[in-house]
Amino acid sequence: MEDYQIVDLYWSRSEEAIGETSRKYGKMLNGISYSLLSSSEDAEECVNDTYLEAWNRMPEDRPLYLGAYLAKIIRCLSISRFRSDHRKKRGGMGRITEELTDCIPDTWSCQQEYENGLLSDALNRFLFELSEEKRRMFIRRYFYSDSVSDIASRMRISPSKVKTTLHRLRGELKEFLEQEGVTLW
Amino acid sequence: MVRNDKHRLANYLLDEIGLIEDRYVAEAATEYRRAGNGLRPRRIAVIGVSLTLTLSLLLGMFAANQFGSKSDDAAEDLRDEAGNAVVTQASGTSAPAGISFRLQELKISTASYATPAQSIDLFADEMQIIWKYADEEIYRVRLLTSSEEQRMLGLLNKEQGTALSFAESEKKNGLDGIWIALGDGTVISPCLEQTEGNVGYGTLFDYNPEVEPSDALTDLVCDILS
Repeated sequence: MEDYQIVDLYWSRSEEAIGETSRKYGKMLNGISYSLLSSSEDAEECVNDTYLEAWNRMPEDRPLYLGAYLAKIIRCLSISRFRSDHRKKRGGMGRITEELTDCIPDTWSCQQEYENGLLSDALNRFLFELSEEKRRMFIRRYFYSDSVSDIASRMRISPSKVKTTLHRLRGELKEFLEQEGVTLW
Repeated sequence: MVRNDKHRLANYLLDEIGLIEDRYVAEAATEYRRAGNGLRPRRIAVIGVSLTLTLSLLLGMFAANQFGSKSDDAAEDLRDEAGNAVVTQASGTSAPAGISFRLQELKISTASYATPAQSIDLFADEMQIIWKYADEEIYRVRLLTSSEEQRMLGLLNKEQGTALSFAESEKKNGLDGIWIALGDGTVISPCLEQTEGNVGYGTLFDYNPEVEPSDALTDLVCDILS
């Protein structure tokens, strides 16, 4: 079923909406959550919460890319769950956050307050300038939380090339944010 | 900066990555086909030799045809009067190899997406190529980058389409319509001479494709979409 047809089901408050969503995107959503939480049980709960969230948000929202829309919800839910559960020491999120420290410009300070939207605009501009291959790699790692080997397999390149490219991209992002003058304030 | 501070800021960055544009998230979810698949040198050589032999054969046949006895029929004209390339159909009649044919044969890149008409935003401040195949209900959209917009605007302002008389059956060759939306509500059917007959506002209007876009615009559209 096409995305717009599934969205129509949500809008018409049809019970088939969740079933169709699960059929088309259940595996992807589970994968995103599991990558962050490393727990099947927790991932399954996040998936169910995502369906509920999508049901509550539509109508009002009419996403063009349903997959991306759901991916953002489950990513947010999974990250929140990871942070609220102090017992969690494992999970892909720790490694990913560690990598992202490479991207922090020297001009940033924790004393500054966070301004919503400024950074995401800059990120979009950064991504726009990248080649498709690099952009995919960046998003698969830092949005979808794929492992390096998964990315390598998906893109049919060696893991070492993925690691090298991601390392360079982190440096480029840091430089980009510094040049753009993006600060947290 | 102490380590804990950097981690805190990295968490902000992680959150903001969750707010990137949906189209990038969607792009990364699709299968990736790399340009160039790294053929081995030997395979390249084999392909090269095969192509050379095939080309030699074709040239030989062409030469033989040229210097052989001429038939009573006129030589096949590979261009129509308007200068557009033509293809010969199985029935022996010629039809313009215009944008409909080119789009049917094109491998459309994953940068485009399918959407129902009501979801298309013609006031999104971004130029779009929108098209619809005859056998689909949905529309296909490709947002243009800044450089693509410049190229498109350059052509829209100076090129003129070619008037042709399409038989109604031409629509069955695949394309119900193609439009260039400028982002401010203006919608142009790509005959490129912006007259009242082919400029709409705020809607994907229906039109008879009685004017075929120029080769230059067809090439540009195909280049952008591929």
